[in-house]
Amino acid sequence: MKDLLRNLYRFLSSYGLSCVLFFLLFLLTLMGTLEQIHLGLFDVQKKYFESVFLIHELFGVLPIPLPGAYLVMSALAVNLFLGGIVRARKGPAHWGVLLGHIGIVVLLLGAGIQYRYSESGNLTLYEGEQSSEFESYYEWELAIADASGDGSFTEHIIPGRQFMHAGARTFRSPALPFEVCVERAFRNSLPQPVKPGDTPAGPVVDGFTLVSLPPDKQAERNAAGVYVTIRPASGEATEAILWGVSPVPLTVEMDGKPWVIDLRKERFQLPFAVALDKFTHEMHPGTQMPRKFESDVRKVENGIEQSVTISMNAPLRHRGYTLYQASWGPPDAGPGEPLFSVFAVVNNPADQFPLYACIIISVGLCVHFARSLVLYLREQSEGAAS
Amino acid sequence: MAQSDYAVFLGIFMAVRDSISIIMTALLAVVLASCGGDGSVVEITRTRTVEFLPKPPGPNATSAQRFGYEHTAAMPSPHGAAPAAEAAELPFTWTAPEGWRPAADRPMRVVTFTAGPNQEAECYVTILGQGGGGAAANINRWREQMGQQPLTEAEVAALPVIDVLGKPSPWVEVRGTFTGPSGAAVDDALLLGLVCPVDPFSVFVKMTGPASVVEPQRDAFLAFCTSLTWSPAANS
Repeated sequence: MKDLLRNLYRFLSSYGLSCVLFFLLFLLTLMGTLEQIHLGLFDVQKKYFESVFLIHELFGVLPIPLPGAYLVMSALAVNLFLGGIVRARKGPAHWGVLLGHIGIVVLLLGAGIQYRYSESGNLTLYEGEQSSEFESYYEWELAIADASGDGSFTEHIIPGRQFMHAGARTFRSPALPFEVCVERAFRNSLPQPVKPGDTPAGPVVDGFTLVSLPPDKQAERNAAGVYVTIRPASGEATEAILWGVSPVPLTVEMDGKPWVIDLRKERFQLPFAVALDKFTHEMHPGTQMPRKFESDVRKVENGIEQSVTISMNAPLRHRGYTLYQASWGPPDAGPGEPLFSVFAVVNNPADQFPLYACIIISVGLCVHFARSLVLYLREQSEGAAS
Repeated sequence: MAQSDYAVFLGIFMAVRDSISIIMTALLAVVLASCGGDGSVVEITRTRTVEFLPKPPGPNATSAQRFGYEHTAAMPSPHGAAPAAEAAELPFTWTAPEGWRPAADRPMRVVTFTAGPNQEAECYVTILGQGGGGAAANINRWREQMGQQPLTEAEVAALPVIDVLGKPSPWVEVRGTFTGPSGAAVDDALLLGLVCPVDPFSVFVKMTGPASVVEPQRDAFLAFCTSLTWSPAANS
């Protein structure tokens, strides 16, 4: 057992493993970059950089199994920690290199925290509007709510990852008078009316069938769709198609109450509200290209308001959330028309880790090179003296 | 080759061998875990309390209405319509041509469709109060987006008109390079537009995209414009 642990420690901290991992990272970066000819950025990121394993099809025909960058970088963090810090020489001559290794480990740790715990999306506000929610770019959710509420609604949320790639599943809650069974889910889809004589591939519900479409290269443009069956404790089940970009949700009557069932982009709660007071933009002369755009907002928290200006290089950072000025619209707004401002919202507990890592690595390199310079100059002066 | 070089190569070889062994073990674990079954019944554990529902419910809405193929005044207007229009509820209905795909809600738009083999053409309806600055100003704004010179009032008055919602509505066709606010340009683009002035607001219908895609959609665009019909509620 002791030998096994010793061998495992040697393997995990070995220089050879570092070489293999760096080569794999190079390979994944190259393949991931080339794959963007066929796939969008989001899909490439999922397949090559956020995966444990993947199959890369060389020249589109030869399948090659590879470890994903998530596994490789996790192994690299362990390898660097054990080999570059624990096992490395610790004398003053190695302090600079040691610091460099610590910096890289911090960088990898930050990437891991971001992958596991960050949330990102966008928040769109018209002048005069206020919101404390933002919407995911890519992820979906099913929201079920009793629409008879007045001023307050409790939404029961089913995250998309529980039904988008899972086959048929039934969801239930003691607070709901029915079960929701997601029979089939499509990442990108279009509900199409079925005419007499058509032979649709999928089931037909209320004269419509859900057609699966190939994923869009711009993943945020995908429109998810699902077939659902709503089963009350007693009585007849209701079949329906839910479509992610439908302007009106499905409403069903259960126990004398109207229940709303909506497939939509996943929504996240902000711990504070943001109100847009004024949006201003300037175009480059004679073009439709924005030169400058900024939003005067109020951050509202516990009844306390604070005025902040968010511009392209000056985001609002508060309680772990960062709001960047991302876009605006409408694209063809005429003079005097109301404008809206779009903020990219990111909640990343490790957003400062790259900065810390860069500082640590810079200090390490300065220490290392300064020491080398001092030694060199000392050797030179000693040589000249002799 | 020096002995130290052999040691490095040997190290790399052993690392590759061990990596393969670890990867295969992990892969086996993943396969076994996935065979364990994920359970077909799942408890909903996440709840959220909100002051209003992001999409207003549409009781009795048919699938065609929910998916944007039809619109009736009885339904709440889609999120993203002009605030004034939302407050008043839309007094007209429409029918989408075959092959058009309803697209995601966009702020300020009543409805958006995409068309063409790869959905390169976009058609949408907007409503602006008080005429939205007038037909000439909006037509010239469209021309500017296509890189064309503005028309004079007389030239605008001479544009062909079609009857939509009972009003003679100027029909606009502009060829050129379409530039959106992002700066992305579409060369050899075609814009089809219609301005329907119905007091106290104006309805704008616009289609843009590569000319090769928009051109075959001309009849469908015309059919869509003429499908705009006052709802019975608005007439009563």
